[in-house]
Order: sequence, then C-alpha cells, then structure tokens
Amino acid sequence: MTTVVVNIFERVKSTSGQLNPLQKLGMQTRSYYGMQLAHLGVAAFIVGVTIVTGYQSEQDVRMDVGDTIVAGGYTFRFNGVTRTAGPNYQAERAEIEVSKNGQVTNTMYPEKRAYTAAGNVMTETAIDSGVFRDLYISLGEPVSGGAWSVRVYYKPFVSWIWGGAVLMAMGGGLALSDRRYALAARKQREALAQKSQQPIPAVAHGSEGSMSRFVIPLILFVVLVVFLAIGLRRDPNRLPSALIGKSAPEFALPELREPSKIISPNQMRGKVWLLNVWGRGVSHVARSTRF
Amino acid sequence: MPIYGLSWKDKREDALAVLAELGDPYVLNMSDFDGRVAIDYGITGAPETYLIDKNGVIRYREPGQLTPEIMEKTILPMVRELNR
Repeated sequence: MTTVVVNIFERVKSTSGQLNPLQKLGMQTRSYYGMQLAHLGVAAFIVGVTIVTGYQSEQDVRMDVGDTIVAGGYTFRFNGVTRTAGPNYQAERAEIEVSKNGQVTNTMYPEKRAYTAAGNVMTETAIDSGVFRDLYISLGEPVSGGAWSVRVYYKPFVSWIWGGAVLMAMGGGLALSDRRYALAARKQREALAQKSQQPIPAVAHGSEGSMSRFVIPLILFVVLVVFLAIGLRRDPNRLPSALIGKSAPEFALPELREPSKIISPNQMRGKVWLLNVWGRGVSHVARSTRF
Repeated sequence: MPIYGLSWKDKREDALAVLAELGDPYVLNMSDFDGRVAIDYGITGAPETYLIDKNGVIRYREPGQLTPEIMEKTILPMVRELNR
C-alpha cells in the first residue's frame, strides 16, 4: 500500500510542466489509476488473508443461560433460547449479547430452523460483519436443561478479502475504459482498411466484426436475463393442479383423536367441504379466522 | 363451512399438541403419518387446501396459507355456487 502512495507521488513529481500537483494528478491516465487500484486490491486481499489466518479464534462450547465466553476480545453472553414461528418454519432462536470492554455492542440471534414442508432442519448463523472483524455465531444442539452447544467465531479482516477482490475488478474496469485502448483499436482497423484494396467495404467489414464481437454476447446475455426473470416470476405453486375437475383421490385414514374411526372422502358425499392439509409448525386455519 | 384437517407427516402426539396450542377449527382430523395420501393429492407443502364438491370432485386448490381474503373472495363464492 505504501508503494502505491510513493509511486503516485514520484509520478506526479516527474510529470513535466508548470502545473500544480493536483492538476498533475488529473493528467495521469485511467489505465495508470486502474493499475494502482488493482494493486491496492491485491494488498488488501493479502492483508485480509494473513490476518484471518493468524488471528481468528473459535470457541465451541456448551452454554447454560447466563454463561459467557470470550473470543477475540469480545464477550458473548447466552441469554437463552426461545421458540418462534416463521412463515414456513419453526425456529429455536438464541439471544446472545455481544460486548467489548464491558460495553454491549450488539445482540445476535442465531437460529435452528425446522422447515415443515421439506422436513429438514437448517442452522441459521448469526453474522455481524464489520470493517475490521466479522463475528459468526451458530447454534448447535440442545444439551440439557436449557443449555445449548454454541459455536462462536471471531474473524478479523474478512471483509478485506472481499474488498480486495472488488478493488481488483474495479481497477481492471478503469484500465479498460482508458481512451488509448479505443484509439489503438481504431488505428488498427484503419491500417487494415488501407492494406486491403477495397477500403470502404473493408472498413465496413472491420467495424461489423468488432460490432458483432460485442453485440452477440450482449444478445446472449439479454436472452439469459429474460429467461431467468421469467423463471423467477413463475410461482410453481400457481401451476393449476392436475386434479381440478377430477374426483378427489380415495383414502381411508384414522381420525386423529379417535384412531379407531376411519375416515374416507365418500363419507362426505352430498356436501361441499374443504380439505386442509396441515403440518406441525405451520400455522393452520385456526390462525386466520373461523368460518 | 365444514373444514376437514389432514395432519400431514406428524406424529399423533405432536399433531394433538399443535391443535391444543393453536385451537382446532376442524370438523375432524385425519392422520396421514407417512404422507401417502398427500402424494396422491400432489401436495407441494403444508398448508394446502382443496375444495371438494357434493360429488367428490375437486374444484379448487389453494397452495399455501388460507387467508381470510382468499376465503372471502375465492372460496366462499365458489361454495355458494356449488351449494345452489
């Protein structure tokens, strides 16, 4: 990073002309700034990777309500787990108070979610992202009597890894946008046109070639975006059911409260009725209203 | 409007616990523990609701939550039509 600053300084000093340093800075080409930016990105990336590998810390412990653990200078206090319901899941949500030097900085809520429809359990890690450190908390399994296994990560400078990559990309973009590349390309086309015997068609052909080089990928990209957009809009649940207008499939199932009683659809013949499929953790009709 | 519940893939105790906790709006509940019937009905997930007429023909399917709005605007008008 120092190198970048020094290099820019030297470059300004060596630029000739009766200009003040700021004007000289403005005179530098975009590809020059692109290069510096990309190198800054590499530096940030290396800083991120080095510090994360060297200074990260991780705690995997059993925590009772009120317990605290320390990782990377932060104190994590476990305030217990509550049950909450999402639109399509039931969650066990832990409340963890994060403090540094006795000051509460944040409260994080890692979750364990049980999705009823798909029948699987997912861990929802709580993430607190910052410029100089990321904190991750994931909730393990309940141990006993309100205690849970909790995993806490302190990872310094993680965002620098991402930021470094973004800077590199921006540097590349800036360098590409340099006017000199466009000029060089035009010169090349003109030279090509002069070399051939029929300048006019050649020029036309040349520009056509370079046009299609940009236009074809652009068209492909637009087509792809359109397809993805259509796919996103289509709600698979809104597809008409193949069963509409057909007889309700027969079944014989035990009644929930009195399993000896067997229920089947033909007992409902002669009346209009609703069949509501529900599962645990899904708020069912009772939640809405009574009809 | 009679609503029949189909308890899907839940153990009996779990299902009864849910009814006890949230209330029971159903005429009666069937227990589809292994989810076989749900496959016959092509269920994509719970909750899901079917409207079935006097002859046992499925007239409408509502994937997802049964809201008062859907009930008022879609299902009840169809029910009135079918009961005529």
